[in-house]
Amino acid sequence: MLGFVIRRFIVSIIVLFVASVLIYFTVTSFGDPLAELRSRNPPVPEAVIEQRRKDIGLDKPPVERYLAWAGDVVTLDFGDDLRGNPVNEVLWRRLGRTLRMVIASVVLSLVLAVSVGVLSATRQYSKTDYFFTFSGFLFLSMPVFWLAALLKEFAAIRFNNLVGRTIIYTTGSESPRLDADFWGRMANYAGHLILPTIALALISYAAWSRYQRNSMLDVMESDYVKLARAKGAGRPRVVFRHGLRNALIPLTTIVAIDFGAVFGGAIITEQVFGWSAMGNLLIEGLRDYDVNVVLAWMMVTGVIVIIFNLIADLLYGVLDPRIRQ
Amino acid sequence: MMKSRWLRVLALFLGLSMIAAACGDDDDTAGGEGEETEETTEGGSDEGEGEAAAGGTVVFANDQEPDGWNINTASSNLLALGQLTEIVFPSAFRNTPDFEVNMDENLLVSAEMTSEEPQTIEYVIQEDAVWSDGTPITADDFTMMWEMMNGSNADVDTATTAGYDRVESVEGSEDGKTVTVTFSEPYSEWQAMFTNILPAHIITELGDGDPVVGWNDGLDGENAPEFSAGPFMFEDYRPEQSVTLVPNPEWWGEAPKLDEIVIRFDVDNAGIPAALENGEIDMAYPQPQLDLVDQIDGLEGIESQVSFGLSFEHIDFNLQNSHLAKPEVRKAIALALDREDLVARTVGQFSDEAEVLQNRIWLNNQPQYEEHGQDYAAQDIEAAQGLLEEAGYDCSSSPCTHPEDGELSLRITTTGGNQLRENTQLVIQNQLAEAGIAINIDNVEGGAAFERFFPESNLIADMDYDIALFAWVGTPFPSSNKALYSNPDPTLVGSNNTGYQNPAIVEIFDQALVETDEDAAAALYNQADEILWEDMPTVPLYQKPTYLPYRSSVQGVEDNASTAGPLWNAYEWTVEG
Repeated sequence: MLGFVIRRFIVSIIVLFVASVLIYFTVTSFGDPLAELRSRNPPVPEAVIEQRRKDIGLDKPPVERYLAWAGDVVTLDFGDDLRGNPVNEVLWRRLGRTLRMVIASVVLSLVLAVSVGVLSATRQYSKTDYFFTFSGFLFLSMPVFWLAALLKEFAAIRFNNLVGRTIIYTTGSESPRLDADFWGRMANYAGHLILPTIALALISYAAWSRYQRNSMLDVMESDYVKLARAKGAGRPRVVFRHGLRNALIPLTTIVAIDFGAVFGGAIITEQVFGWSAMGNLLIEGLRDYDVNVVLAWMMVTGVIVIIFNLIADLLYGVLDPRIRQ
Repeated sequence: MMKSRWLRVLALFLGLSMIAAACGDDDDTAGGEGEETEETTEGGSDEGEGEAAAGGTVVFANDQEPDGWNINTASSNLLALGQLTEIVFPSAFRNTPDFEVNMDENLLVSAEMTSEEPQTIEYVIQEDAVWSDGTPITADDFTMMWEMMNGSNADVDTATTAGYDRVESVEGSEDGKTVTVTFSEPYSEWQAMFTNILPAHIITELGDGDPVVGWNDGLDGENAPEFSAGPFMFEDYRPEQSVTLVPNPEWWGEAPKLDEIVIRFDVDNAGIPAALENGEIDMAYPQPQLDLVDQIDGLEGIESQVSFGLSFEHIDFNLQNSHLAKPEVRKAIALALDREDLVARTVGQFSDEAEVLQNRIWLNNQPQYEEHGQDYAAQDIEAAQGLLEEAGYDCSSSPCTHPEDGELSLRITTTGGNQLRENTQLVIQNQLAEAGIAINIDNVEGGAAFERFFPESNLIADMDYDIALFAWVGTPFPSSNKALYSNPDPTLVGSNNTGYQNPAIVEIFDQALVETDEDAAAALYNQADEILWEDMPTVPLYQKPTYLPYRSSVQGVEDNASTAGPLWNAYEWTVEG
């Protein structure tokens, strides 16, 4: 097992660095980070533009710049952005916000997916099943920005008007000038987290609920479940103790794999809800041709995807004794 | 065994949630104190319901977070930052909402030209004028501005050297309260100088004794200024989230009524309507788009002002294109355009006062404005085709064709994703089609469009567009427009993205720059515009509107569509309790 983990890790690191080379040379060939300076009126003095060029290393060949970056990144230093600010500071700050949103949405999606999957499976072809199937595909096909608009209006504004105070927020990851104790901060974060979590979760849970439903159906038809029923076990015991615990195994690994996808896919959700998080960081980096920022985003996202893929592989072995044998 | 395993997995998820919730945000609150901030405006006195009261908070959405705070550097020279520093840093002259340029009487007793040869300006600083640490504002601060911005030191990051590079000396007298600026060459736009003045002593300190380091880096990134000589000062900068403006205790002018103005950076344009309705912000200053304006104007308790700012939309012709190199083609395009209709279908939907712009140097609501484009005021397809036929085009079919240059088919490029500009392109495409001019829309997202207009190589030959649609920001001091219509090296772009060259334009601009009589200078710039209408390297379209939605409980709000922005009179604002 340890050898497997180490081998996977080494291969993943190599893949990451190959990807970093491709992205580096792609982004640096996209365009000129100084184009905006040149388009200003009154014109920026040429000497200033030239100095900026030197400050951000554009006077050096791309290969030399990449090697310098690679040398720094080994020590987890992602260099400076085009403005001379350390990328690390911005990165960790934004990573925390994205993780907050993604973890909350994954937990909510999981709860919804399991509940809906079990209900659908145990009431196969019933109205309940058809309703959840329909709603699942509906949310799966709904654009997140449209869902966000609906949530802002109905889940936030109207709800707040009903209760007479602002509980659910429509923009930002926290209130400006937030200065409260721990529970005050948690409450404020939660108020800002509700809408983006729901938006992200409703889209994720739909696919997972389909997996869970099918997995439950498979398990419920298995011999050991039939035996449990034959032995007189009550329906809840059969469903939850014998069925669900085994039906969860495939979903767990799918969730682990999808975590990386959710992390990367939160870009639109973050944009819509005004979260200055990883998604915005990537957009800003691409917009400004800021290769250090884009690479930092890629490396962090890549590592998260690698870790969770590895977790998925390990979990399957841990949870299913048949795999271990 | 399975049960404990699942419990561990669940615990892991919950633990990660808690960790992510608790981390990821800077706990530093340099100036924040007290309890969680309410997000809506709040009154602070007992003067009675419905009456404006002292105190209160206004939350202003501004999604352009400053990259740094020294607006005089190229790195940080953003319009959005200037709108904040308008009430923080002192300036010798300021723009009023009617685009007049007036001396700031809070800073100066007088600012007069005491000699024409050599041109000498004498500024007398108010005795009360001090920085927020109590240090008087003196000639030292003016001197530092000059030394940093005159271009003599290549290590200094400066947004412009205009005017400063013509100054011979800056001297102080009367304990530094009188500043004498002597020019080596005349400069008509001296009133544009000494804006956003910074404290020499603090900048030097920020650079550990080196003012250049302090100037370049002392206010970069997260180093928000902790000083002021305006009614407000910055406090509690939280990167990517907000910065707060609080009253400057050392301000000697009319004291602000508000407790604070919170500037939020985390509200983008699309989120403004919901944020306003939900009470999370009180004002915003977005670029107007039709659906945004419709959404906001329907909100209860929200008012709005539409003004016309210094920005104007225009189309530029790449004179390297074989068709557009012919003046007849450029004029035919101008004749085929129905700019009245264009305005009606775009910015005219925001305001009845939207007008066609008939001048490239001055804008509709500037006192110096003259209309020079009357010959092109109305669409005239017949005249347009006549010009094309004069240039050798056969317009018996569409598009017109030239025996050597082929079909008259041109690309129009703008910053993709901007709905207003994309609508403008569609209107232009339809209008020009009537004259047999085929237009293909060829957009690029955001800043990538500017690379086509201003290539990295800076070579004219590398420009990659036919017709460009974007905006320039006008100014009460138009000498910088020279760079838009000329370049000493005709192979280079600089700011002249059409590649246009005409010595007559250069001569007029040079004359205007040294003309110390304002009216005479304005007349010279108008003369330059007349030449530009004859040569038609560009076609001005319309002045861009500004849009200022705000909560009606905030009293005293008045947009200043110049570079000053809507916060210009924030010290007068009150909140209805």
